Amino acid sequence: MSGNARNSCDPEPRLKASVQITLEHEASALAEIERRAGDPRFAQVNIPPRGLEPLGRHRYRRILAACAANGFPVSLHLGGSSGHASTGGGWPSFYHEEHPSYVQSMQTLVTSLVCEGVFEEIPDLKVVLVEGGFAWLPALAWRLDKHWKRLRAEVPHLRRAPSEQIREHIWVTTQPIEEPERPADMLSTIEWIGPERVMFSTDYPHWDQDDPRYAFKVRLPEDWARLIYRENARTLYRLD
Amino acid sequence: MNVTLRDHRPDNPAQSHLGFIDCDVHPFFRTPADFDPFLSARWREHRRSIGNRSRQGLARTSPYPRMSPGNGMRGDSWPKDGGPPGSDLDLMREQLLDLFDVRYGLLAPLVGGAAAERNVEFGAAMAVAVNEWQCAKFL
Amino acid sequence: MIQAGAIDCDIHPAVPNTRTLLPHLDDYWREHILRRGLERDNLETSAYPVGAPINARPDWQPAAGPAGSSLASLQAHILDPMQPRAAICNVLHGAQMMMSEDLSAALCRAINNWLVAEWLDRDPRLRASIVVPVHSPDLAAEEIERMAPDRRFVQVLLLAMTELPLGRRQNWPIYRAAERHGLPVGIHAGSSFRHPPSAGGWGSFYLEDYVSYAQGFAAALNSLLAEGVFQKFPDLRVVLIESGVTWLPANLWRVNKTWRGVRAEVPWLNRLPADIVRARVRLTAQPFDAPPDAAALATLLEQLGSEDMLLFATDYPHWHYDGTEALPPGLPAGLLRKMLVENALATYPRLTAP
Repeated sequence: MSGNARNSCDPEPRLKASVQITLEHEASALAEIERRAGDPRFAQVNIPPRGLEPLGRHRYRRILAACAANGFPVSLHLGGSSGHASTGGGWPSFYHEEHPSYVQSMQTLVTSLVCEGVFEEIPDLKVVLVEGGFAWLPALAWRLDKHWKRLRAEVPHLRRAPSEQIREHIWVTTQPIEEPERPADMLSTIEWIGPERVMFSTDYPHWDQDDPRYAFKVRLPEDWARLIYRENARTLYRLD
Repeated sequence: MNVTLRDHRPDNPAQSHLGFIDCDVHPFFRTPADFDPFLSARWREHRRSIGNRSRQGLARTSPYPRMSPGNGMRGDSWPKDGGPPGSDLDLMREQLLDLFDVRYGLLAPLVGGAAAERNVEFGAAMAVAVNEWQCAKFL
Repeated sequence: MIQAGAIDCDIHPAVPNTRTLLPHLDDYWREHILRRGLERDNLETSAYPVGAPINARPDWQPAAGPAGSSLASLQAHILDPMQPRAAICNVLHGAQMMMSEDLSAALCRAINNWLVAEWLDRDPRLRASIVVPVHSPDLAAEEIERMAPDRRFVQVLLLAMTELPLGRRQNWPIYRAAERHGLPVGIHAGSSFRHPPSAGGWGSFYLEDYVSYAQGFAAALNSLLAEGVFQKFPDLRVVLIESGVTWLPANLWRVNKTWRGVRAEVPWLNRLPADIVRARVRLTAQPFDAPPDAAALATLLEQLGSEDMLLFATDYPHWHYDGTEALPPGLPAGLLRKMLVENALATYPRLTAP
């Protein structure tokens, strides 16, 4: 295909839009989700991971339910301006600290969705964590499982193990690709998450964009590569 | 990052990435006025006077600015027309969609300030405007 | 019409864009900012949106750039028609908002250098406040030391709402340096928004924020009192800039009452708080959130309890009045005379001393 043959006014059928909403204005968010439902140009609903309260709280439940009911995965792209310090200990000084702290925001989000019982209440909810890394997810699932066992009387609404809920409801994107010290450890990480839940992303045109030719420092098994580069997203977003 | 790779041979002989689906592509506006056609007169005026208000000390800049121009853009992704990276569909085709034979790209518009807007009525208006703008400009 | 020779204690030159600051940075920070592309951003503060009507009087808007960015406009609008003896420049800028203390300090140094070169050196009527990295008291004190030898800097500029309440002991290096050099600390309205503007969270509208700045002053003042800053630094003066003024009496009653009840908790606070405030704190009188009638205004001024406290200010280019009506209407002549000149001379020793 040649980019020169077209001009920027032509439609670009390869691109899919994400529905923007304002989480703190429920009526308008619900209206916008319903307005875009069934429009094949829109693939998902975007919500920033950093909000006024953790996403699992009841005040956001109807919006998440509407996403699921209308067939939209919820995409959580790192970022957001919540007014809360980016770490529990306060505001860090440098972007060097802020960039890793996005991972902690993602962890808070997963913990909230699980502990509030959102996935048990909305079985069709599909959540995509974008640009927040993924190597941390297995350890968080193990930690939730372990301490859920001791504290489950506090959360009787959680009937299934957190790790099961995570594996069923959460997808992750690859960029910025994790770089284990031993490259082959990427394979065990993906295995622990589930190769059917990992999707490739570039983050074009940001500085830390991943190149699909070089991102993985280890050869993926062919069936995993097919899933990660294509099939998982095709199934999740119902693309042809 | 912005290092030119001398060796362009794919490290994966099966080229299994070809025809991949890119789950994170960022469209940008040329100027904030790009959203005006999709805003009512009341919100156009609000955008120009009060503007976006989120929960941080700087009105338009991240309190943690990235380490490259455009708040963290790839150095070679600035369109020749002077707009910001992500604002020129032709360049996006050249550098991403055509280069890698991308089957689909999912847009993640980090623009408009709808999600973080303190005035939620304005936020709701900006959300609709950004949704319309994605369709009009990129799809 | 204001007589010539008044002292305008609050005007706001604006950095037109970050590129303007490049020549005033050292080599490392110039390269650092260019590599990050920060010269393309203007680092406007959320506390003062440049397009909001209250922040730019329509007939004071220059042909290009943000209101306040042109010395020629300032001369045409204020300095030439009003002929003040002095006008004090208070620069509001995102330099103070930066999370990196080093970047914040570098930008503050550049702003002070720019103030010297582009404003103070170009109009002898201008004076300025030292812009400091408010979240980094040691670096702020260093900047005070660096700029203090230039006697045209008459004050240190802080924000009412930052990461810590202003009286907290971590901030004391700022007060120590200011006191040593005879510089009042000017606390300006606004927030770096490390916290919501109130314990109730984030309001929807700029109007809410702007009104809440008065509460920010009350909290800052109470913090300075309770932590003992006025006792620890006996020669330090504090100026509340752009506070609205009329919130103060009721706040003093409350603080006095609390002090009478629980002063054992803060034994260093050994005088009635209102007496300390009347002796050591001054307020610029634009905006002046006046009561609706003359009788109420007279009562309010009695409650303030001192003719020494108010300082004349235009708050240029912010929009609080039209035409040349820079003085709040209805103030008695004796108070006006003190407000226009004497009080400022008593507050800012550097306005008289050579």
